[in-house]
Amino acid sequence: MAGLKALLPRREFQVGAAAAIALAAMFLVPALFTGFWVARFSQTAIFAILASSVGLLYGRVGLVSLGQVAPYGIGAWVTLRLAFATSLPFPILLIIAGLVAAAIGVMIGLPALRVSGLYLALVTLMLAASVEIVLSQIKFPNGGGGFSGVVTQLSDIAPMRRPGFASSDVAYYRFIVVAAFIIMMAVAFVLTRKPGRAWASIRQSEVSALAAGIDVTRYKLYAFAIAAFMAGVAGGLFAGTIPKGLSLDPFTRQAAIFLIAAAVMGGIRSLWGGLFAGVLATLFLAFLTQNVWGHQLWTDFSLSLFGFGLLMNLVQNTKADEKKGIAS
Amino acid sequence: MKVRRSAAVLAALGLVLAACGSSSDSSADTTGGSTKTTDATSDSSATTDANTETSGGGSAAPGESKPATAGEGCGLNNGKKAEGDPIVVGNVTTSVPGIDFSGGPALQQAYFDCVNENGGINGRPIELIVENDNLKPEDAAAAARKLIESDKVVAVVGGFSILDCAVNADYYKEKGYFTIVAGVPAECFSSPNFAAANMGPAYSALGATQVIVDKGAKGKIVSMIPRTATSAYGNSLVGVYAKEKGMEWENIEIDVPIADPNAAIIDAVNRAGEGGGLILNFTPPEGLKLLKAAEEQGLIDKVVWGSSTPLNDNSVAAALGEAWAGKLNVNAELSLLDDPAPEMELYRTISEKYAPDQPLGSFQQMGFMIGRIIVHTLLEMDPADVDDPVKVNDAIVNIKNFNTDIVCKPWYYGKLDAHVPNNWDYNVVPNGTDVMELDRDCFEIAAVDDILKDVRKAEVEQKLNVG
Amino acid sequence: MPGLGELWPFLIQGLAFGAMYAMTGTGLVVLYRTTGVVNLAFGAIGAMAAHIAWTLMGGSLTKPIPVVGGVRILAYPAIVLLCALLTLLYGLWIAPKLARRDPLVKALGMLGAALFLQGLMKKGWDSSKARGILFPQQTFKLGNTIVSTTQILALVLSVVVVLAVTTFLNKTATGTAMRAIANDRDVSSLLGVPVRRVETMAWFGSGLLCGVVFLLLPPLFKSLDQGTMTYFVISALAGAVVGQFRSLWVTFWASLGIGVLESVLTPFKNSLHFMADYRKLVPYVVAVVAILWISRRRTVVLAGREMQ
Repeated sequence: MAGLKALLPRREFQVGAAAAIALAAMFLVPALFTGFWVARFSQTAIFAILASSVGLLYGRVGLVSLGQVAPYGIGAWVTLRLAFATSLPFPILLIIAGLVAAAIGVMIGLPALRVSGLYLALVTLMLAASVEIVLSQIKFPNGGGGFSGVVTQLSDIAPMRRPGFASSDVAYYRFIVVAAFIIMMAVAFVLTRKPGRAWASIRQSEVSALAAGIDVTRYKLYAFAIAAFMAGVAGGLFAGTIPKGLSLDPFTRQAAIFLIAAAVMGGIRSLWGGLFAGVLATLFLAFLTQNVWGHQLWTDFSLSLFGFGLLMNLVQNTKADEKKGIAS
Repeated sequence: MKVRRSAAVLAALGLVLAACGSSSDSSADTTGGSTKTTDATSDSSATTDANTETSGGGSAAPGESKPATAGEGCGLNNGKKAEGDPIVVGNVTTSVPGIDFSGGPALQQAYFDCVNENGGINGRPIELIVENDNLKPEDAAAAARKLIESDKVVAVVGGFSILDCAVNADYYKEKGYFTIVAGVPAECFSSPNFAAANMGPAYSALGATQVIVDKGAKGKIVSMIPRTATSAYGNSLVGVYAKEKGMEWENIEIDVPIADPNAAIIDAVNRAGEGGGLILNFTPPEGLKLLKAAEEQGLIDKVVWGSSTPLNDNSVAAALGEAWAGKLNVNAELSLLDDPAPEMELYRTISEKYAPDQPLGSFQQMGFMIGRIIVHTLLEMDPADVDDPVKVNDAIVNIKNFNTDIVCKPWYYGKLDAHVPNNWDYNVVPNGTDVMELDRDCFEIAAVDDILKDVRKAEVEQKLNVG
Repeated sequence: MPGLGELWPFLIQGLAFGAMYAMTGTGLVVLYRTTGVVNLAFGAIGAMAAHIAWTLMGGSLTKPIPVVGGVRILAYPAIVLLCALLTLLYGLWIAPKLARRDPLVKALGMLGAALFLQGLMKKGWDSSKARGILFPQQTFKLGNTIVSTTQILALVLSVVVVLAVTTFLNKTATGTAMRAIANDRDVSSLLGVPVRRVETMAWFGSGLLCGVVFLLLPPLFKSLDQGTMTYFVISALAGAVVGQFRSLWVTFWASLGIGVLESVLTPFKNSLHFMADYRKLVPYVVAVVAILWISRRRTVVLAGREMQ
């Protein structure tokens, strides 16, 4: 506990910095930027939550899930459907979406308890591919009435309901920032408590974690549930940014690979990395497509850019680790 | 989530627009060299020749001169460079890898460039702002708001977007903008605020169905389309028409990209039965898979084959080769690229001079046509009114009988609950070597649904395209 | 319920695709056992090579399926060679930088390479155009079913490949070295096995296999489709997973089974609607079931490379 107390000032500083960034994002961004950029910043906050969920699993527990687009898509789908089927307040929808996604996350986690890291990555990659097929079969981006309504014309798709107190683009953007801030703070809190310490020791060595009396199974599942909850809420928030219906686009195999690339590039060891990944994957790309030498080059190359970034990051990490004398 | 596309859904969404037809191979292959040599000639044909035709056009004072008609040149056609404050129009277009519609606006811009070198809009230049929706609804919504609220465009014209119609229909209505587009989803053809240069997947597939029934398809029509959230629209009218003809109909939705074309096409032909009809509603790469699989499985002569307009692409004709000569009926919404009509001459000239990197193609044709429509409309207005969006949009909604060689009948906007101004089509077939050739000249798309029935009635009542 | 006769064409098609899965699986297993790398860029590399070969062959919008004649026939070996070279390039340039990391990081590296190549392909070859590179083929009737020489070739080649690779691993010195490295890289190195040279051979060999797969995939898909070819490897992984990245013959039979099942479910539209609609999930379901079965009592350790 003494060690933890020594960390306190640093932690308080970090919380303060995060709060300052959130406040600046809430009030400076809408004042300084056009609606187009406010929309991009909304996506940044959402992607930050999603990337942090990948970072939590990989960086904190040492589990690589390539299938985080699954709970993300499920969260979006649940929020969308419940918004049409019920009149529950939006924040409640988000929590339900998160919980449903968390349940799915645990189901993904179950096989993960028994297989090695590589198998987990392969299985979750297949999961991402399956989600694409299933969502396509159920005609996923569809906003018909009721819980399972399907409409044939895009115009019949009613706009997704937003919270009553945040129906304008700017207000909803602020709502997203607040939601992202709360989630990040909650995760930061969990990381300093027992689960965080358990994860750290699991990541170091599962065997010694077991020896230390840590319930490895329970804490692994716990990590999957929390990460899936984050992704689910991010999906719900994403659903609300879209005027009419959702697109299947963010939930594909390719999106899954892009997500891991962005998360690794942002940095998986801290929650700040999630935010940085969000900035890279949304603001940075938007900046390239808007401002640099004619956009077409960059939209085409954005995949190459992130693929290259992922590779370079892995190589750099290896070099850094080798310098520190840590093999593998 | 920034990921641009797994080809699957892209292709699915991009379906009909994705290759609204032919893109010429010659210009795609010849950039550079040959373009330069022709510049001089195209220059003169676009301006000088036309000047001699229009009586005294060059010296006419702004506002007095008549806008050039098809084939005569650009705008006022007086060779004077436009100056002063630009008149700004804009649109929302989809341009992502796999679905790049930027060729449409590129030719609209090319025509504007030509107009601006030839007197502009009564001396003032016309400027085009193209916003990319990145195939994301949230971007499409942001784009429309930027155009109207920040850029203060006087008209939204020439958008080639998968999403614009669906996402922004209510917004344009609220702001009083009458939008000219080329679009895919149903709302481009079912909203009072959109009129399209093309006719969309449903009417195009219907046109192909009419042809194959006429050519002897019997018993049952099977239609195929990529599965998307709203794919039921694409082949819906095929079913209505088949029932009207006393035939059975079955629609198959398949996941794209197609990974096992043999399985898919054997299954589909089995369902259609010997002598039945098969309608494809796919982009060129996906359509090619199915057709090649049919060829391999010896199914070409089992059914009568039809396709909506995207397969009207010379790359398809070339890839299909001899076995398919005359065997695939592709609905074509626009005149063929080598059509000798004057407006098509002008299009080819402008493309060569002002957009040398663009191939000749259907998007480009439509972008050019829309460019001509808006320039013509602005020139006919009182020059004092062209900065007022209300008056400009009032002029747009009143467009009637716009003569064009690019679609079968004169184009119009009109006051309608739903617009389908392009509702007569061509039928083309692969020639067995490398191009699509004309098989059937302009024919009327059957009015089997309420929208087209109302449109035809309004055409007569409001004298929209009966000059 | 479709009759047996109706199922035949789907069975043939399924065998052909199963054979492609099997060859892909063989390439993945050989490389994994020697270097610890699961080549998730297998599809992207193959697709890239096929596109480059298409261009070398004189492919253009006027000739989306280049005519094969004269030197253009070289395009077929070109695909194989390009695949092998691209794979080797990664093996020599990037892979050593990650050599000491665990297989997970190595696999992520391949994903990075796949994304990179995909971006290049999207930039270089407009994916809205029809494009093909069809291996010359004949069709003939087997009963009432039309069979193409490509399908036969796929099946025959897959058997030959598995036989040849198994023999190679068991009978040749290099093969023995590969198996030794697969068992324990460090010890093999101490015992004087030229680890780097053997690994290089493994990269090249699996690249050649990738080339063979992508020689035959375009005629089976009937088109050069960037997405389908790139993600083909994810479905093909299932067979290798069932074989635990260890047994080539288990991988072979599992791949064939997956291919056949995926295909013959197609005509069940009326009776077993659900099965037909979700048939593309077959590889994934098989893989997950296999993993659960294999791991029912113990922690799965991939081919002895991981310590847990």
